[in-house]
Amino acid sequence: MSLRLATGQAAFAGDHTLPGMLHVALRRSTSAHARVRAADARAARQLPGVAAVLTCAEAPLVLGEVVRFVGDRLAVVAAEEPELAMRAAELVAFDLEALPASLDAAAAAADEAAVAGRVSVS
Amino acid sequence: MLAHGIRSYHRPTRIEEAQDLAAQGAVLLAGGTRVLTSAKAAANVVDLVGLRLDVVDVEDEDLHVGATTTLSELADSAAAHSLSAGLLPLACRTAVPSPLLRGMATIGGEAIAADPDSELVAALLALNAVFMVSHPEGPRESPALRFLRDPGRDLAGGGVLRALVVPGAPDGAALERVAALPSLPPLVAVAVTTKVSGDKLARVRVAVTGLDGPPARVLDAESKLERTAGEEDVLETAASLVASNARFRDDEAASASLRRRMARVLSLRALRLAISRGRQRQPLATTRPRPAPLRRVPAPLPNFTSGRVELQLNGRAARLDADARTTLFELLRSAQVYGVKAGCGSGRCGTCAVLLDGRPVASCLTLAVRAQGRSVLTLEGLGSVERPHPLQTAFAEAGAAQCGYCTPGLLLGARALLEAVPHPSEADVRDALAGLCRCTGYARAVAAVQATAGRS
Repeated sequence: MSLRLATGQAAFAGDHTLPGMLHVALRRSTSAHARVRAADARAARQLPGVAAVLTCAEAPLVLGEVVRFVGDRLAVVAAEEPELAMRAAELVAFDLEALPASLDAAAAAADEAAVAGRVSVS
Repeated sequence: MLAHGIRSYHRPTRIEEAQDLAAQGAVLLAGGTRVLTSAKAAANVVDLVGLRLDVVDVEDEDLHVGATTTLSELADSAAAHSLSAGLLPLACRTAVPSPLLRGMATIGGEAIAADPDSELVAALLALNAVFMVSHPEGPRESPALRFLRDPGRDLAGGGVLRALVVPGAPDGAALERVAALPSLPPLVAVAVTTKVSGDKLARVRVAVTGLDGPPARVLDAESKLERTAGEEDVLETAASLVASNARFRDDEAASASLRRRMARVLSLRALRLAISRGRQRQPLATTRPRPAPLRRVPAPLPNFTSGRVELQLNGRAARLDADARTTLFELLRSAQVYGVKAGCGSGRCGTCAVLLDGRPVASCLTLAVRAQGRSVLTLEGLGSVERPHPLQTAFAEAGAAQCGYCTPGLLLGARALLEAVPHPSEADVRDALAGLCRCTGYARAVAAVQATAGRS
């Protein structure tokens, strides 16, 4: 195996091409904490070559209606080309309701800190 | 992906043609490390490689450096070392710590970028370099103090930076920096040069980074030092002047007051070193100079928008379709050369590395059309599972390939090193592989390269 890695012969996930393969791009949150009031993916879906656009309306288990950090997932696009998927992801329009956020360690440690989600440890 | 705005590519052989295109708004392309990572989209690019502005030579004790000389070539140049008291080669190394990017980035490109945190710009200020610009309105010579404050002013209207001249070597120099990590730009850097006459300091130049704007000289501190014997209390006063008179930047990396305090300490340290080195005529230590590799100059290409790129790919003739905007990375992947991998897209990780005419380049920052008529070697071309290159065998035996993802940059960097230096020191090997793998301490990779060198 090691020699295959050292000669460029080992195939990584991105090295596989299959017939009909699509490329996925994510639209990520630029807000630390917000609720999605509405998402409009019509413009993205109309681009030729875009196979699917998912927001929290279509995939609530994967794309929650509350984003909890900058970079959290807002939408997923599958398209025939990677650039097309990225362009379509930027075309999804969001109406976001800003929620309180803790932006530094001191604020996060305060009793009245904004909480973006809880993890239960049992 | 930032290359995707490019619509046309021009490769002139006469500087007047480059001036005309620049006057029409085309972007000048030298190493590609700035242009292809810039947020500003370039529609038309002019490749300067055909102008042969990459010569380093000495005229009347002055160092002449062609604008498209790479930082690697300068870092390895004996002339640059001796005519800058070692400052220029050292600044090339610390300003661009990645050997892959250093082999692509050019001195002209770095100077024009006017990066506020560039210690290379500070070094050029401390060396009082003169910038030679070819311009449709006639040649211009612009001193560092003017040029580096706003390079766009001297270049506007079709100017092409041709060369820079470092006049008269200093006796001593020092470059002191502080950064969160060696691979990050300095929070503050101080470059100092000295000229000594008897006991006295005939001339001192102090330049500093981390400012609210481009790096700058601190003239008040310099005049405090000149014609003194560099007594400790004078150095203290000068260092305090650097801290108080330069306008330091306040940002998320460091507050202005922290930068001010660091600048005082670094200035004091740099002044002491540059003065004692000046008295002993002792240049800054650096690794030993190497001869620059021979470069083939590609044929002129007046206007390329799309077409066939003919190249030697892993020893075989290949003809591949490309647009002006296509990167060499995309070209190779479209030809199913999967030993070239996508990583950071900014030349830092090296997983897209290839050897272009024997020199390592990041294929994600190289336009495909630049490979026209040249030879490209990827990991597959180095050797195969059936017939591996000794370096590949050594990597496999030492377990140095690990996950294999950054291996292209490591192996091709090692191969280029061994071509230039058949028996490298451990420091040479570490320098050649620096920054290419994020997961390890390089112990196995360094051992594999040295084992290969030992067997040859």
